Amino acid sequence: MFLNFNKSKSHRRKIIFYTAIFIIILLELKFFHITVVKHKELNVSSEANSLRKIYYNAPRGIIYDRYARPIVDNMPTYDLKFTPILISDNFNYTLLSDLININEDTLRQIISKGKKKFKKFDPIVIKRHVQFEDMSRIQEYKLNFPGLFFSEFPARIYPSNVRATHVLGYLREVPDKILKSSLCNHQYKLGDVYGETGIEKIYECDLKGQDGLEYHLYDVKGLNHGIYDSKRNTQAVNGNNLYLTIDLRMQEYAELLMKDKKGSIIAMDPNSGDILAMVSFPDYDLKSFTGPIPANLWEDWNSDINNPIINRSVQGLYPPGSVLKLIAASYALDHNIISKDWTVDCKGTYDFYGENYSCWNKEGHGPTNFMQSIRHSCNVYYFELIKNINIDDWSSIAKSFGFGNKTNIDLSAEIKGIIPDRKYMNDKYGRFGWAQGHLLNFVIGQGDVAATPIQVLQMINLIATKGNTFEPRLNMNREKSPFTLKLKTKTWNLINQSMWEVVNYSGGTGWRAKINNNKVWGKTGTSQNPHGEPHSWFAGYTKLNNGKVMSLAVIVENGGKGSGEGSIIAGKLFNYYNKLGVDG
Amino acid sequence: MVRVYKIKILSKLFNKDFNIKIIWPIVLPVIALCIFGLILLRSTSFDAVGSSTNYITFYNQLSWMAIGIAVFIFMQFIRLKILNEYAYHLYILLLLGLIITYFMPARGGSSRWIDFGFFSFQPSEIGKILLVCALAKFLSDRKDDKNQLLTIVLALVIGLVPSFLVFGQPDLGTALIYLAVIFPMLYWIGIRPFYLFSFISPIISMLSSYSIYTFSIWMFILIIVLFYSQPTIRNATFIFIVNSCSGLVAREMYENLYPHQQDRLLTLLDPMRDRFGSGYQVYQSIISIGSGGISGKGFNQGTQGHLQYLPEKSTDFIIAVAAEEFGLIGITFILLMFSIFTYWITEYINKFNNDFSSLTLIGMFTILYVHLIVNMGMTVGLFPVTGLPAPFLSYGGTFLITCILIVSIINNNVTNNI
Repeated sequence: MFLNFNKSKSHRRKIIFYTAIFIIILLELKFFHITVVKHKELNVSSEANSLRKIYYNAPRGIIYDRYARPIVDNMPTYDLKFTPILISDNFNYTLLSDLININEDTLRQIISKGKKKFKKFDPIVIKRHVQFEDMSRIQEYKLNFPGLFFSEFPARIYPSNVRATHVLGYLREVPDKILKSSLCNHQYKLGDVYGETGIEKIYECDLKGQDGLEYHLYDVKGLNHGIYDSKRNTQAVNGNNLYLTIDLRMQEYAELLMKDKKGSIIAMDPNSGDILAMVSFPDYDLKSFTGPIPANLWEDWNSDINNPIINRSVQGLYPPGSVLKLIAASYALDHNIISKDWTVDCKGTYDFYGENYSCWNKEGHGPTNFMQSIRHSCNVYYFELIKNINIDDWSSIAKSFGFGNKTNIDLSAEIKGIIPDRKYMNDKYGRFGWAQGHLLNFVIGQGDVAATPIQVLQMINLIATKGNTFEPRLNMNREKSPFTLKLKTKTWNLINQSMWEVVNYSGGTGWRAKINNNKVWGKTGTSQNPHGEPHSWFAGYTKLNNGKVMSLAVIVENGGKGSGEGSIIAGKLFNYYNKLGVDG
Repeated sequence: MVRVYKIKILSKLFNKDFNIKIIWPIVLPVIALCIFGLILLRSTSFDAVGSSTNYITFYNQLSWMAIGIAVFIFMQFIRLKILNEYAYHLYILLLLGLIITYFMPARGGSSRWIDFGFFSFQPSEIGKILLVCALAKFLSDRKDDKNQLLTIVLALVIGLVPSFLVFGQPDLGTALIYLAVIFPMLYWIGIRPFYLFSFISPIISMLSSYSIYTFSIWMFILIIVLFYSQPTIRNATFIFIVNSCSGLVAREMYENLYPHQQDRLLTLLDPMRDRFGSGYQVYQSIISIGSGGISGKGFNQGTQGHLQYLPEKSTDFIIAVAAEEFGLIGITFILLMFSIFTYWITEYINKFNNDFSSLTLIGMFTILYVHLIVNMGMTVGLFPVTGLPAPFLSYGGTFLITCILIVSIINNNVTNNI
């Protein structure tokens, strides 16, 4: 067949033509394959080459107090960058290293590495989160630093006088874990910040806002050629502002009172569940840095033996002490186990099957009825009383008052506390390893019992509102969710009466919390602390003439008796609130 | 006396009757490609980068085209027989010119130019035409010679000598062109295809030796061809042995290539092998072509070209620019124009009664054709990056003038021989 190929000239002409066209068609098919079949894949490669996403950081929402006074605001910080190709020989490394506190050799290394890159227009970051003052200082010497420029990055500032450290929380750069997954249906990118604690964490999704996005064209050297005309571009959307229930004045005063002490103060409005102030000391200073929290600072806080990162108000576990007597009393009164005239003769000690339990008053309170038992915080009265209540009933009433459960406050990492019940005791001590004797400790808030200050305050809220309060909240716009407990009105009245006597009767343990209008109800507590001085509790509430109520829980670690530090601080706060109430 | 001599030269150089005729079926596709090329260069010379927004390549190419038109018209007055009469003289001149380049200072790693100071000249460009003429003269003289094998060997020698000289410059692409023109011309003069096959087959053996599988397949095809062509047992055995050996020798030769040529060969087999190294150009070229899709990104809208991701976009990879901005439609347009060109060349060639003229025509056509196919194949990764530009499309004055010269010779040929 090959022999036939060169029959004649016209035949050879055809062979040449068809061969030529055949190869052309093969080429056309190859181009078809690339332009049509592989178009999508290669278009992605093409965009990966030249399109780069430019983000515009959305400012986070501003956080206000209940009267719209800003607590947390935004201020730009600046990222110090340079364009490698513009850096020339007269770049003053020494001066810059002085200005930004970076070792000159390190600086030279960063820059020479950048200059070796192929993408010579691609900016390289030298230092992030430079403050405005530092930036303007560097700008003055601009001529010494060819190629240097700044880009904005929003950071938090705290314009008010309060610290409110644990309520607000801090921001951190997003870790790999979040970069890989996502949060709030939002894909975070390297260098983004997010709220890691407090309100910033809980309301991250609201506060964050949506970063703006523009697609820019970049050439092979990394030079920006402006916006790529694309419908995918989006505008930055500011984060939602947040109104806290906090009253800045109360917060500031509470912080002042707590200065140099350890412990917690929470002030609330029982009629709404609003938290007016929340203090946990020791704390850390949010104003001591700009931008996300620096790693070394964070490590310092974490290793501090005083645990400044713990929010004692919701994470601090304390024995509630005598404050807890109120729940056993309310159960006994409500179920007619005792009447208010039921009397116990307190001799200072109490013998229970050979075990010796004592009242705080070693001399004894003598014959004590219900009112006196609360007023003087007599232990023996409750040792006698608890004989008539079994552990199931006691733990169940404690739980109805909110102990042993989260209060659902809008803060993260809240702790449940411990209210021992039958199961807990069986698990811990074995079925036959525990006895009624333990209850004698529990009823006065010692032993295994552990509660957070917010739980104690929630109990006070129930008492102040006669069983119709709300779960605590920090966000004004969070829906109020009721927290109720049904007891007889007579019981509520008796409990309230006894708490009034604690403060206002002579010999009442809470006398130091008394204020001029005589409208303070409260209960002190002294929780034994094996490591030193007992913790001093005061929990109570006050009423203004206009009907407004403020409840308060104060615990001062190692503050001695409840009638001491706790009551003093509470008294000052009640007074202050009263004054504010008069002022409006 | 002097006057008579002058007239003699003039009458040798020019046609007696000025019979200018433009063969539009051949010239029109060329004009279309030239205009398309200008459009592409208008796009590539507009760089958003830096200061090169001055369209310098565009205006340069435009002025070369104006010169090209003058060359075209001038060439129509030339008496083409002079190429036949002085073919060997010109061939010797070509060899001399190529040898001189070896003594010239190298530019960009290769010495292809003869430098006259104010003007530099690349003999291998015009040499494509001179080689075709020499081969055409040789083959038309030996047309009736029965000893076909000797004809092939001598023709190969004529082609291989300048080819090796060019290859040593080094200029792989042009060396390839010098070899490529020989075979269609041999075929056209009536050499048995089996002989041609015997000469080409060792080259294919070498290329296929990169893997045992392709080599096995190729040897299988070789045996079938040998069987059907019925040569003598002795010849068949000889061809078989030559092929086997050349396959084995090829690997040894590969080791002796320049590293950049080795790279090119490896990149030929798999352009994506080293997409940020030696395969970078082809990889970016394929991205440009693929991202263009069917209709392209639009004139001046190609991101790959304008943002400098595509290297050598005005010269070697102008086809990738065409594909990125005009898509498959643009590519089809180029191939269609060239198909029309091809069709009319093969139409006219049949009407020639003069072997030298028809051989020249075949040779000239082959030069353009191989340039286009190799260049386009290169942009999609089918061929190594040899540096062969696309005729009428790529930027470059010398090459454009050579191409227009070829077309004007073809036009002159067709006008005066039919």
